[in-house]
Amino acid sequence: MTSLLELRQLKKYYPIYGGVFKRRVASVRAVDGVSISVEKGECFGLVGESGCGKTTLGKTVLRLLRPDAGSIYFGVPPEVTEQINRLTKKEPRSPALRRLRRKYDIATYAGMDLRRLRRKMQIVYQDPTTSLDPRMLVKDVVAESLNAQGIASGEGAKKMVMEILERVGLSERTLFRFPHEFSGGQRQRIAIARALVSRPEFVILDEPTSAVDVSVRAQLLNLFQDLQKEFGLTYMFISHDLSIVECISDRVGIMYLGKIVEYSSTDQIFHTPLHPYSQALIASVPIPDPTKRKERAPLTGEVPSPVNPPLGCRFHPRCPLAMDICKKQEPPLLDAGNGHFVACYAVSQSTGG
Amino acid sequence: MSQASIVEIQDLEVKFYTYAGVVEALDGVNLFVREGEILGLVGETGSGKSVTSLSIMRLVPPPGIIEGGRIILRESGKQRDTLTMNENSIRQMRGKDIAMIFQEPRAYLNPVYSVENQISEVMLVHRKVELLENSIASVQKKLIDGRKTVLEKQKAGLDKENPKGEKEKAELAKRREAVEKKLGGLTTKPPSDNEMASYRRLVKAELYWPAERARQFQKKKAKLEKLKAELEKRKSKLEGKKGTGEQMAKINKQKHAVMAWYGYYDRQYAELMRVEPSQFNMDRGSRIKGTIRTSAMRFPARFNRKRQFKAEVQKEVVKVLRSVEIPDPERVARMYPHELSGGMAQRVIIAMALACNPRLLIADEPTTNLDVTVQAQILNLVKTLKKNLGSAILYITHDLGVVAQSCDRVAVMYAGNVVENADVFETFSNPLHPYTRALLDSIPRPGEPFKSIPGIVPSLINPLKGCRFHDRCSYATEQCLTGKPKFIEVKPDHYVACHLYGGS
Repeated sequence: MTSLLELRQLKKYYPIYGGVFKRRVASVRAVDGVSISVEKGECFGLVGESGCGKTTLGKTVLRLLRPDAGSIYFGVPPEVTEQINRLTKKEPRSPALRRLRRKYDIATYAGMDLRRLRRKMQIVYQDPTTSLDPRMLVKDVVAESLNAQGIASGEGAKKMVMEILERVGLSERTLFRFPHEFSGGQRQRIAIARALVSRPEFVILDEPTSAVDVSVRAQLLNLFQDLQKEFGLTYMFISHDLSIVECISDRVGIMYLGKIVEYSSTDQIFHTPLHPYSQALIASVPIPDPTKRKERAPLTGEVPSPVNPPLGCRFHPRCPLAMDICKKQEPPLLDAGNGHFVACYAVSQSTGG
Repeated sequence: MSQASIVEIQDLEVKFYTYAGVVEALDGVNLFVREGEILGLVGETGSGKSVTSLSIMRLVPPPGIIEGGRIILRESGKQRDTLTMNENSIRQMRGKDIAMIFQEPRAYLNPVYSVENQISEVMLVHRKVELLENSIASVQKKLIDGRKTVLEKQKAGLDKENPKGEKEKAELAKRREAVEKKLGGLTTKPPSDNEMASYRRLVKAELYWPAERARQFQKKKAKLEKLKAELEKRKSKLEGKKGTGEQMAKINKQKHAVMAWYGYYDRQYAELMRVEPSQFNMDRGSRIKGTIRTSAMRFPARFNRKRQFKAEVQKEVVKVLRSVEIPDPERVARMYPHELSGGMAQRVIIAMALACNPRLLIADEPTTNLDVTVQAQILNLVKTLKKNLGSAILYITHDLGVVAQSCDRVAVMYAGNVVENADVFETFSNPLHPYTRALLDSIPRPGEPFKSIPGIVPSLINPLKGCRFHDRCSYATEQCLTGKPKFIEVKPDHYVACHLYGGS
């Protein structure tokens, strides 16, 4: 397995302006130092409560937002990655590294480079009602990226549009209709067709099933899995619904207040979660079985504001295992074995790390 | 079917007359909620869950019209059909007997009023008199306590400075005489110091506490009523006899006098308890009428009646906020909705619903927009509230996990019909209706492919004849195409509407 996407200490702060001259007085630290890698062909699940920065991370990876710091390496050959890693460690200021980053780090891209990149990365948004232009016909919605990218036009584009619409389960009759004429599930299919028509390698699914019904949800999830196999796609599946993530993802990252606190294979995350936050999150999911009832809520309180995140480990005010060190220092994301990364002092101490 | 049920819906039909056609939203819904249980109402979007709950509150928005059926509200043996009630009694019921929690807490909180203001609104509509009485009682308690301490201090001072206290005793005797005079020589021998103190308290009560006066008016009224009854009795005895004209005239005269006095005291009493509008709380331009001001609240000047009442309301608001486990309720009460997080806002909405101890709480997808960890907290809160208050809860959701975790019984809705209704354990272990089975199968399970229900939720304009699920049902027979299945009890306490189980 080679990694398709590598994030290094990615940061995205939203400024808050205030005062007389509307100066920047504070920042919302939406994404604050995220380092993960997404393997080619896998489905990476990104889980967390609302306001923890999942969507911002997704948009920053696509460069729909400009990151404040950090690097994003997308589809970089492994030997180059190695070279970059070596240089970053040894001589972080060397011109060689700067050259490499300009060439490969999409955080530094602009203009035509970005435009070319967009073809390989796509996104499906949460609510298809708002993400589809109500005044465009389905055929135009789907063909838009083909025209913009200069992939095809006219008859060629029409052929590609028909092909992809058929693939996502919509008939030819839908071509000359407007998005409002469809049900929620069908609209989401149009959004999927729009994302896939330019044959991307990497698709971000930003809560694609939260706005649809249970029965339609299953249809969409099956479609995602089929399309992944057929087109060899790599997904980043952003969701707050852990039961879906458990079923669809190969690996899962758990986010809390702009930080990844734990990431590992789905199996390990759901069966042996190490971080106290992951444990609480998983325990909070209501199990659809009345014989397994939980009497107590595993977590009290709510997510603190990302403008002033708690010092040290961001979870310590709600953490049952909080120690003194958690209040002072931020725990690093360390490997606890088998590619299971956790950022928690309680875990690293118990494993003797 | 109706054993100890507090709300029973029978064959409810609701139609929406839209430009696109008549939407038959509810087509004979049968549902009941028993005392002290949580009933989960499950179904896909457009199955009529919310319309059902809105019908109970009689809040179906136009162009929706409740076309038929009955919604019976049971209260200590009495039955009322909410569909035939007039608007006034409906308003009496809303918020007091039945309260509702909505999905999007932010949308239902007014951004320009504080939490306290919004919660007190419900209380002022339904619990005005109770709160008034409480505030009077608390002032009385304060006055009595204050008086006690003053007397005690005086006594202590007397003992200390002037052990014998003859001068003071003489003074007190003088006052006592004055008191006795005032009391109109009720006593024959001079009262002891203790007695005098109690007299003084009595006099104070007479002067300051209208409640005491009110009580005396009531007593006098009762006495006069008795007198009147006796006169009537005597009159009826005399009736029909000869030569009793003089006696009759005398009795009539006496009766007139009694009635006049009765009227006098009655007017006095009414004046004392008169309720007038005031400006304690304003509501979106319209003034809430009848917000407390009675002349019975003529407290001593240092007890401002408005402030007293407001303090009482605040106390009550804090109490209800505490009951929904809000930390630091005094501070939260003064906050505005934008300062609250999603979970907090939902708790405030729940507090508002609980402000009048409703017998039925309708929760319309209260946790759908909340995070899982907060959802777990809210679910636990709902469960403890049920235990503590004993109200029944109608919990509307589409999340079967939530149902399994918190409900006692489950009703499954599909396209405007309740198709199955059973105990939660029975529903999950032995679902009978094909739709319920399909719904349970669509729960994602790791390692298995996702199962969906084929087809889509049908449009309710020109809905299918017969069983509305027949086009998506793999068991459908000829019968299902034509005949609508009846909602029957297949097993004890397990109701199903399906031809497979003899619903024809």
